[in-house]
Amino acid sequence: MRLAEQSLPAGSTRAGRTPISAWIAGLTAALILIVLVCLCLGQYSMSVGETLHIMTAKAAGAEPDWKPMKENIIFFLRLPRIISAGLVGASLALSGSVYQGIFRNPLVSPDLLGVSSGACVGAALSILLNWDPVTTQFMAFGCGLLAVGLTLTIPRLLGSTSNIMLVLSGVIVSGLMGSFLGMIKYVADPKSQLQAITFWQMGSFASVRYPDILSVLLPMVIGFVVLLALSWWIDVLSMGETEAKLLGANFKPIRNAAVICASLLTASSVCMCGTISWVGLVIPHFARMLVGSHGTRYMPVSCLLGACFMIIVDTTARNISGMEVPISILTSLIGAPFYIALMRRRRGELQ
Amino acid sequence: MIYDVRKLQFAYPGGKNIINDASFTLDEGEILNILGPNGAGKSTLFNCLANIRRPGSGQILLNGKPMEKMSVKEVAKVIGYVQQTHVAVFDYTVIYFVMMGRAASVGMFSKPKEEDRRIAMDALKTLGIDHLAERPYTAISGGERQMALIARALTQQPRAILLDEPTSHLDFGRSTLILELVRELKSRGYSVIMTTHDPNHAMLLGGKAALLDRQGILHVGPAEEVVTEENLRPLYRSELHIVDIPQLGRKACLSAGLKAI
Amino acid sequence: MKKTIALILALCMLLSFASCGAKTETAKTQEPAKTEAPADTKEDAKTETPAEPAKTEAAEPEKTTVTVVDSTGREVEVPKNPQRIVAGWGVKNYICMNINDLIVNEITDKFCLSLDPDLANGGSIKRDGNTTAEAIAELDPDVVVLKWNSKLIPQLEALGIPVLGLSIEDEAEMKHAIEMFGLAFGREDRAKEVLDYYDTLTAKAEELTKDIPESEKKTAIFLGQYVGSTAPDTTLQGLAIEQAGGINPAADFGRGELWAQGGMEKVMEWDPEYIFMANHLTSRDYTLESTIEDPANQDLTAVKNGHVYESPCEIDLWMYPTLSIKLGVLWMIHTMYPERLSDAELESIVLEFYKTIYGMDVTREQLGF
Repeated sequence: MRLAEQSLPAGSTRAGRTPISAWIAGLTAALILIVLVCLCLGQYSMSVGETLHIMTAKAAGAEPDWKPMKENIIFFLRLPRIISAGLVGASLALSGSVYQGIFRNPLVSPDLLGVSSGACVGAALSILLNWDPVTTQFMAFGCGLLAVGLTLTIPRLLGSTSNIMLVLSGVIVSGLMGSFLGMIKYVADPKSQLQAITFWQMGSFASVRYPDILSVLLPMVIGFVVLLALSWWIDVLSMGETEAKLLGANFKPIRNAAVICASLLTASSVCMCGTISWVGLVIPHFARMLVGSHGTRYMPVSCLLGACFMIIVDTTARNISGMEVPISILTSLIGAPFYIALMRRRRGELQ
Repeated sequence: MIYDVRKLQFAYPGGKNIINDASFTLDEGEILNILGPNGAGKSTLFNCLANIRRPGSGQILLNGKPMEKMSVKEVAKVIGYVQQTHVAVFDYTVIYFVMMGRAASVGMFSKPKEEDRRIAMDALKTLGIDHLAERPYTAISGGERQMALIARALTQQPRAILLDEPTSHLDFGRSTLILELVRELKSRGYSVIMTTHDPNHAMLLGGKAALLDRQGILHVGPAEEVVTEENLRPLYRSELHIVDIPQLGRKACLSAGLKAI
Repeated sequence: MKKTIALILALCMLLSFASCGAKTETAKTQEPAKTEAPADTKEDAKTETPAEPAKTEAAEPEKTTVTVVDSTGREVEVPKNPQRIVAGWGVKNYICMNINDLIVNEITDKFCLSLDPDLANGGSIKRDGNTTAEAIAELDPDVVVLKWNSKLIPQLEALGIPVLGLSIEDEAEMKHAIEMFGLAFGREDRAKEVLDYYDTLTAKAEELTKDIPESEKKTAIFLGQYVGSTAPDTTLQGLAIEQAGGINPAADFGRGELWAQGGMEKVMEWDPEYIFMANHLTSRDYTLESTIEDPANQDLTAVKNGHVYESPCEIDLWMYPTLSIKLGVLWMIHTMYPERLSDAELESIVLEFYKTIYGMDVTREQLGF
């Protein structure tokens, strides 16, 4: 039985797509290249040639014919920074992708349910009480998750756990956290604590070392593995609660699991380097532009793009001028115009 | 028996019964048209049958099992639901969209497999839209989207297909095509439940018809017996006529021209 | 229905936080007055706390007063030889003026309390945790000392109470403040004694370092609030390095900023022989231990030779704009040039300092340097 019909002219068809494996291989190669290039860039005067020589010689186990300081800079200063920037970029991009799918809204970011604002409060409190940097990291992680826990609990108390209740709850909790942060800033010592809190908020990878990365590695790995495994299900969930259930998907358990894992990723990122905006919002769009909206395709691509992006941004932050530029400033400067350009391209679809 | 509905009752909190004691059965290859005026509870009844709402009392047995004891996965393997309209947020391809019908059979942390894709393509072929498989869902016409929705329901490999006013957004020609499709589904062995505004649909399709009147009583029976002037006039509060049209070999439900208000 | 409830709940929460913020603000919304209000105006339009007419109008019979210039350049008429002083801010900076018995409010600063535990017995100047003009006025002070930008200054002036606004951001302001307090508290001799002693310490530092040949000068940097931040010579700490006879490679990097955020790679490029960090920066995102143990820093000259230090001390701040800054400079001289200032000499200077300035007999252990 054939139903002859007039169809609308094909939009961006993506028919005959490049297989996703090609994209992933290509982006992974790009990532490796970016890492190598960024390892060679820094304020300490070392030529690219010298850096490459040290890296290759070290890998080959050769005897050092260079100052140990140079080796330390490459492997203990730049490399942990690059690794954590990559992890954070990938985390935020993946979280953003997941939230955009679950909440059926391409305009949401990983901060939707209050993780970032909660983490800020945790870090600010630790700074206010003059606790050491390790405790600050722990407090940021813990309070970020507490905030999400609160966001997930409020709808339960109100008797409705639909998506819209969740979003509303996220708005309330974020606002609450914002108030707490304001109160903490008000009583903080303006000579050093207030500055430290603001600096932490603006995001920086300058103090990241291997132990910091190791401490959040487990939650991050869990987050990545679970969310990437759920990528098809996120698309089913993007049909909306009623429709997803009619198709046979256990909407609430999957959604809650995804929210928790995305929160693990975001909390881990924020506690390593402070809050970074725009990445979780813009990178998923970019990934969708490249490979289409299927979660199974664009979510892994999002991760790789996010990692590349964040590494490039951080390397720029530490090299573009004598002073280190806070990360959020750069991501905003790059992210906002990019977002406008994206909006222009998608004008037709949005109408 | 696919559907065994016993004494369904539904009332909104603080309100009177919208559905009172509704009962019927539906077998393979049978079709049920649910007619009723706006606001009488037709959609509510339909949603109860689709497991979107819980009835106040009464029982629905799906393939012999009580529906309230079935998981969403189990229900999805029996019922394929086709909604009136679908708002597309993301531009998935048609084939990807239709493959979501396999959700009930896909494991927790996996994706659909080749087998699932084949089933989805078969469904597209059945509906004659397999040439649209790689098109973005947002770039096809309304009628083609309706086809895609039905294809997705078929992909679930259900026993019953539920269609909620499938022709309400389609033009005259396409509406007729959909009805022909529905009859085809019936003849292929699916149980079909359809809600409709138009009594003519019930008459064209035959099978069973059900009227939900303003007192919440469900009158079920063969279409010819149920779709009568005596039943329809108080239902729609309209001076309608059921007319036999020899040239076309069918009966039609028509109004007698427009009156002055 | 539930959605409506939720929306209302959200609005209520938002409003409650807004009002919370509003309440704590109303007590302090006051444009600072440009001139003093004469004693008979009791009007205080914006403060929540009603003025106390009876007490403030305790009509001061015409006292002999002294005109004093405070830290912001305001001229304040202070009664001669005040007997009741409210030390509302920064009391550590002027507790050396021998005015312990004149302070009428409760002092909470640990350092001051260690000097004189009786200071804890003064009257409270707080209501519900906030310092208020009313509470201060109730103590019937002759003169009040507050931070230069306190919003209570105009309120107190309106009540006819003289207030000295205090700011101590650098050495010049600190010296000016001591002179001001000398004049205001009727302790001019004491002020001179303190400043003279301070100057002898400055002279001592200069004498110890003036003949260090350039080639033998040690390089040193001061780490700031964040990893990889340094102190340029426009800061107290950066300047201290030079005053201690060192060379600060970060001297002109980020001049004018509080801390120059150059990153650890810059520090490694300079590779100073000595690395200092300030113990009063409690919100650092690194510690002394983390700096020494960080694998990235292992090849730094300062780390290899064990020349990474945190400025003392346990009960006082030596790298902060106070009189003790000179102790910090001398400590740095001892650290970098122990042959020019021995440990024993440093100790005797330090102990003499606390005895002379604060009348304090401390031991080295108590100070912790």
